[in-house]
Amino acid sequence: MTEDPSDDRIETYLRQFRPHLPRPLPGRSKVTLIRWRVPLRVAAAVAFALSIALVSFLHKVDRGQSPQTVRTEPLAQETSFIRLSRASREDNTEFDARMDSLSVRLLPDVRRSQGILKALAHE
Amino acid sequence: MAAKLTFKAIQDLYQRHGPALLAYATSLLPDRGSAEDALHQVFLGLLGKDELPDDARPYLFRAVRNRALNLRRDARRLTSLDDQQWLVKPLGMIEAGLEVERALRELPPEQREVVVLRIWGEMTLAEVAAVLDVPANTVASRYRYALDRLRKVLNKFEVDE
Repeated sequence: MTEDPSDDRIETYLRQFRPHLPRPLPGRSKVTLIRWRVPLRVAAAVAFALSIALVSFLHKVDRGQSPQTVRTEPLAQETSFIRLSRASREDNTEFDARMDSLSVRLLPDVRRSQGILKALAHE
Repeated sequence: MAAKLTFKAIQDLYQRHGPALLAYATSLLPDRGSAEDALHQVFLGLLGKDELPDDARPYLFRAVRNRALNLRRDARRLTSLDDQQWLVKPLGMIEAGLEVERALRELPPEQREVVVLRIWGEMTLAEVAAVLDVPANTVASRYRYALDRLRKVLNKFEVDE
């Protein structure tokens, strides 16, 4: 399509100037690394997101299943005979309160519908 | 018959077409570092491919063009080719070479890329049209205008003698 002879001359003139050589391609190992760079980043991001989701899920489950913790004194502390005897001597109100509290935990509930006492009473 | 692309084949393609592709990318991007980046991205992208057409040149130039335009868009800056050194000047022709670079920089971008593809890409105008995806007549007229401008600018170096 370049029929003008002066076009050939200027083309020849311009071609005397060669383009620069580009810097070499990275070596094969680096190329492999670069090639896998994007998939590796995606995999790392997915793993990170999954671990966050898992931790948050476990945290929720843990919170849902754990019984409501009522701050109570340890049983040993409540049933300490030393404490009870001291309370009986010094403060009757506290002694009654401690006994009430212990009785609820230690004695059978006679009002429970399926309780063993109820069954025995039927017999 | 398409060729299998081994790493060696990619390196061969790079050595054969790299300089012309670099010149082309340099004509589209603001600096040579970005142009080389575009080139490397294209060639590294070839590793994922099994084969290329027998004449890989049009494909490679198109790929470099797309990559360079993407980089330019991502960079959100206008192409400024000031002080670009994209040609090797033979001894005794340094001044002329600088003048050629300056003249190329001053061409409208669409004319400049036609010249680069034709002269250093060693393509026919029909092949250039295919790379740019424009009609062959458009390419021919862009080339004609570009050569006229270059001829005027380079006249003092007695190009036509």
